[in-house]
Amino acid sequence: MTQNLKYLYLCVSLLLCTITSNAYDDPDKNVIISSLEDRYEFVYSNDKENPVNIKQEQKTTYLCNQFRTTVPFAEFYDDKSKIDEVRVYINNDRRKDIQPKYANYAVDDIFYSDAKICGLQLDLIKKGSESRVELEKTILDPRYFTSIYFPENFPVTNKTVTIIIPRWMKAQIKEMNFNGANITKTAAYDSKRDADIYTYTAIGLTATQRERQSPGPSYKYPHLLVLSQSATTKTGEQITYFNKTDDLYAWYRSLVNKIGDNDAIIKEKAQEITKGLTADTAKIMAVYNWVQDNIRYIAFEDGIAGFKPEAAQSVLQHKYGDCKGMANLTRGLLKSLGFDARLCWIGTDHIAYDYSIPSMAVDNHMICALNYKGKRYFLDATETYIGMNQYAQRIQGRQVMIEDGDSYILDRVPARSYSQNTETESRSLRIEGTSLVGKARHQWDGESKEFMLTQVNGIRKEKVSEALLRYLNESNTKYNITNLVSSNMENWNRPMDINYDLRFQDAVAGFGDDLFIEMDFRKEFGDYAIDTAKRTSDLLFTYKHHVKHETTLDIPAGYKAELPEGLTIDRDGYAFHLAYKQSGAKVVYLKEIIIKNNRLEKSAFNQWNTDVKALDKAYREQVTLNKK
Amino acid sequence: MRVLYLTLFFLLSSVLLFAQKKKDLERYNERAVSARTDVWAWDIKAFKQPDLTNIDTTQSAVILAKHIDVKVSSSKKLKASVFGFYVQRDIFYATTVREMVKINDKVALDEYSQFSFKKFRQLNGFRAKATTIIGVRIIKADGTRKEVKVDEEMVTEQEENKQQKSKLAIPDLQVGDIIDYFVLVEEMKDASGSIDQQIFVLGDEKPIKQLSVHCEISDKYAIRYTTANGAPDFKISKDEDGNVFDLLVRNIPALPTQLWMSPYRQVANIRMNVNYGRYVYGDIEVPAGSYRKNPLDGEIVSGARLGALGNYRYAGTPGPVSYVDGVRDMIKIYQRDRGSKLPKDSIPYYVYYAMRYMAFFRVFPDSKINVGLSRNQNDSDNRLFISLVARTLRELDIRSDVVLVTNKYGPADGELLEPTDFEYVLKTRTENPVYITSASVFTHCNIFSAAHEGQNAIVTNEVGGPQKRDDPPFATRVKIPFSEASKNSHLEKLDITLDNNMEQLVVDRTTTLRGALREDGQKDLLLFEDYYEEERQALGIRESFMEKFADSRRNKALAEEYTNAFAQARKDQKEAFNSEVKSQFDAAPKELKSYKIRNMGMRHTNPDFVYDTKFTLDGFLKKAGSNYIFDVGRLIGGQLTLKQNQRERKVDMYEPFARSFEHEIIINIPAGYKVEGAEKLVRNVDNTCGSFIVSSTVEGNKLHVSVKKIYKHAFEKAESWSSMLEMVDAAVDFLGQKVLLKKA
Repeated sequence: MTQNLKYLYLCVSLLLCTITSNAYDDPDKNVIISSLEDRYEFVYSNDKENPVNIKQEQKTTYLCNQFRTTVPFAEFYDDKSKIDEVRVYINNDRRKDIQPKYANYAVDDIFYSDAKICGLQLDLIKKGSESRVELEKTILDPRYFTSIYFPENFPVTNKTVTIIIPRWMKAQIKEMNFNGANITKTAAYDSKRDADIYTYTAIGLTATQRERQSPGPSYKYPHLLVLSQSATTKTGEQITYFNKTDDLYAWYRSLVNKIGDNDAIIKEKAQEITKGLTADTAKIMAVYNWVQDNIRYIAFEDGIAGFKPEAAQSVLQHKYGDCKGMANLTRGLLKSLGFDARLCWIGTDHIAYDYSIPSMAVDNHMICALNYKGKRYFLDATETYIGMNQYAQRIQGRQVMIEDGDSYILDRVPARSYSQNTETESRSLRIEGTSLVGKARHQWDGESKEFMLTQVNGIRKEKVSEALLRYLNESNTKYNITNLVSSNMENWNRPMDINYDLRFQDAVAGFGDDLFIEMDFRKEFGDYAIDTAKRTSDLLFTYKHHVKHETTLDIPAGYKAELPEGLTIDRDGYAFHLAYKQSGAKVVYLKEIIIKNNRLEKSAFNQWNTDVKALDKAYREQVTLNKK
Repeated sequence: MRVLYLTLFFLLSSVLLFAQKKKDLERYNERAVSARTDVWAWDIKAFKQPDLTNIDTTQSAVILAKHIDVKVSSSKKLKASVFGFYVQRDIFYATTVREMVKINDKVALDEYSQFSFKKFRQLNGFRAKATTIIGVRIIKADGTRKEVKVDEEMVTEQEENKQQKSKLAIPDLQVGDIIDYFVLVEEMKDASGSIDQQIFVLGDEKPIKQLSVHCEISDKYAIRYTTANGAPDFKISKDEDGNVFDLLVRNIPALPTQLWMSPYRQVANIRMNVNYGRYVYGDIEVPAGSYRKNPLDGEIVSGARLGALGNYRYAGTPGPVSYVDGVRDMIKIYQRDRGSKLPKDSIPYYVYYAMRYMAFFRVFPDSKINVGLSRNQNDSDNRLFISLVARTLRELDIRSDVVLVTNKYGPADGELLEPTDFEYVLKTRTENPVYITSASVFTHCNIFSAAHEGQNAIVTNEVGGPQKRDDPPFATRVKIPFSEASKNSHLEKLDITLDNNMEQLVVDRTTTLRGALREDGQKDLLLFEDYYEEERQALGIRESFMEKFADSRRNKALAEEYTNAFAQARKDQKEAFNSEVKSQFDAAPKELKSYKIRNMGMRHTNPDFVYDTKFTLDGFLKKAGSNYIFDVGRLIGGQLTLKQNQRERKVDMYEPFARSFEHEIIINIPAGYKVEGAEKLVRNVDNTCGSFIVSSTVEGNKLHVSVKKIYKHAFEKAESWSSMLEMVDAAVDFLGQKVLLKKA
């Protein structure tokens, strides 16, 4: 029988199409990293282009606590780094049969990137067993060696990071977010190597967590920033990397100088775009709009091309480009018309640093600055539906490095208050049977307008007109919209207006002599409670919302109105106001929701939840109309 | 992004490493140039002078012209291919699909702005390989034509299997433009390799102004094809090399909604199979150089009979037969331990469940630990499963026959082309025949698959053998019955109280899922640990795998690991119940207080899946002065809501099966309040398609609401659409119904 069973086992796959998924592993328990040793050393190399390399040696030991399973191991690399070797040990036995797979790392939003992934599935063969991956990697250029993060995808019991800096290499290590983390540092001089050795030991690191709408990792996790400043080569030659921000700019500028824009082509296009326009502002807006509307944003992240913009004529010909290509084209078009337009490097709010740190880790985006009549405007054409002089949350208040010949200017994108993004809705309604009937008018501006246009234009497989209706009636088929008239949806430099007739069926509940009406349809943020048991990081709203709403309802003859109390909550970061009043023979409902600050700190979650609960309750309070 | 595989088969079969040599690339580039020249020069007026009149701009895109060109193995015609060298010995085939599309909005722009394809692919088989060449042109609104320099614009990525994937972002494409692109796939295989079935679908989500097909197939091949759903026939002619098939259709409107469609049975299509040499299978024989149009069902049946026999024989070969041996051993032990033999009419049931156990429930020391809910999704090879059951039954002296049945979402009788158009059901040759269909973790014995309902099936005796004297009479045809709505039911019993603050509902709920509505619920909620044990006991298996591991010195630790994994799975089960409540009520429970499986419904003898949940819900009560409005209608959860463009329908409805949804709701009226408006809840829609009936009564301090929604049939003619709408709308309308809790 035993023999038979064994044979049977071999045949299991014959009949069974297994879904290859294991029981969900509780990340805090079943698998942990019991030890991780990560060692970096600056070394000389014979490659003339990259005379200084960083050799990384990493040993990661995974421990199975509860039941056997398989975990993914992955390491990223690109054109500026290479994986030299990967060795796998299962319970200390070297397993040459387990070889990693090397592939392009495809990210949905990025059309093409040089990011590659080296990955393998690592078996943890039973409870108590350990599996280890040893990795050797070379980073070819110190400029690209920017940061080392401590936490991993699994909890880590003990992690050491060792950085060996020979005295011929000048590099600085900055400790970031060490507060509250159990990390100790030792520094020693190794006379044999003539090198300083820095060792960081971290104990008991919790696993990284992916959470929606959360601040970027540089805000959250303990990490080291490595600032490679300069090196003296074997031959005594001095190489400067990023000693100070000037060096960073000089390097960026050297890349920009190689773009090779064809001014004649750009000028011709600029003139075509602005044909018939005389006012400067009209021309500027026409150019900005044209790039927003006609150049599709397709992200390329490819080695040096990740930092060097594509030539403007090439973006023009392709009608697509990444942020750098779009910024450079915007600049080119404006310059050809005689405007003072410049490239800007910027780190979006995903990044915690500014240009006081000379590192490529500081920025991740490029926009265009325009100096016009003593004022500076920033144009980010990757934000397809935002108007001139309006700024997306992700760049608001961020430091920018603006090109200025051999020098640069540091400035900040202006911060905007919620009033940039005001969306208003006003409805005047009357009762017909069990329906509310009347007219509605909407206006969106700033990021609320951008959000609406993105939603409406971006729904796959659905026509824009239908998408717009579904956006407005929130897929509620009883909220019937007819005779819709919108302002020009192709012009987002002005607030967007929409008017329509409304018939909201079954919105009036009649019982005996009483009619009950809910004045709020949209109930913004009413269900926005935060799961405090699960959420570990602050919450970022996509933008600072500002909702203003007014509904007037005719009180039918022979009825008197009984109104709910309303609600007023005003906190540092947000405010909710709901108010009801009677004005003649009308009930007037006013609502104002303000998200003053797009970041809600963890410490404010409990208050937020209490407030949102009160808001939700208030939304559902009914206006009662009693027969006199 | 448009991913350019002409068929899924390509994707699945291209698994081997295919390193490109420089020479291959040079040859590829030369071929690409000549292919583009050829295709752009096609003498088809619809491409040369696209008809831009009457463009329906309400459509996201309009296909102005589409042409499919198929060439199969002519050494002369394919001399230009990348593999020209091998022409004499191998099968070649080349398919070009060219489309010219007017882009009306950003949705379509997004669809056509990026392409992804593989220049080279390795196919299964010796020297078998394929190349893909694409060409793209853009016609701007002012009529200027621009060719995209594909080679310059393309980026290439390495994929995990070392194959290269090319990606192309289409430059200078804007709304209002016309994109004119083609994909040419050329394949070379040896003569034993198969050529993919060609399916010419005369319809698309977008309207098509002209669709044409041109196939040149050399006389070395035999051709079979079937025209379905009113598709016109090819015009067939001869050239010096073989047969030529042409088709031209104009003005095909956009396909209707996706809801309740069976595209094989509702969209005009032609399926064509091409085989090297003479084709002989069953009663069909097509000589090379010849073609066979619309083969008779009987001829297809003859092939399917052979297939059934082949499967049955395979089930007896070493490997598969071990399943048969395993079940036979189980039944022996079962009978020995019970001290009596199983009655003959019980044997098929035992064998079915034992085989299901073998396929899905067994655990070996070497198995990966998989005890979470994802295990419930496992599936099996149906043909092999029933063949193994047939073979086991035969060893236990029960003969069975294979029933050939079409799937209602596949080709219909009279439009069959391949034996694989049939699916197999086993029918025991017993007084009361037992039908055995598919097996997955929670299927029952003697239940038909909903996809087979209403089909006229053919009984074959290939597996059962000639009729014996004691056999019940043999019927060559059976009609698979439709199941009734009451048998496929979802029943909710809700006992609701209000919390002291008059904010939340406290819901005590019992859910019963029956028939075809049962399995999905089981997959979402049941734990392997529980059903394994119930089935093990029912089958009389003496020792569980946990006991076995615990008793073995070698595997002792494994039992502990499984205990840990079970504990983890139980945690996930709570999440699953949370999601279940959320999907049922369209609102997440505020707190899930308890959940319990009452009956797992693992077998036909105890078929209902029943579970209890207790939880609180927020948002159903609204304050109105001192009174409260209760959204009673929402208690029946999300209802099918039709989009505006789905409300017009001119095609028949292929629904999954007849089904009923019932809610028995008791609302405990809080002290100091009385209910008003209960009488307004009453609904009475009852027509030929379905019904939506609501009754309500107040008894003492309890409001009783009974809601029944019934879809009466699995299939409705298009004429019944208005009746269907009436029922569907009534249910949606009910969602908005309320009662008043009035302060007494």
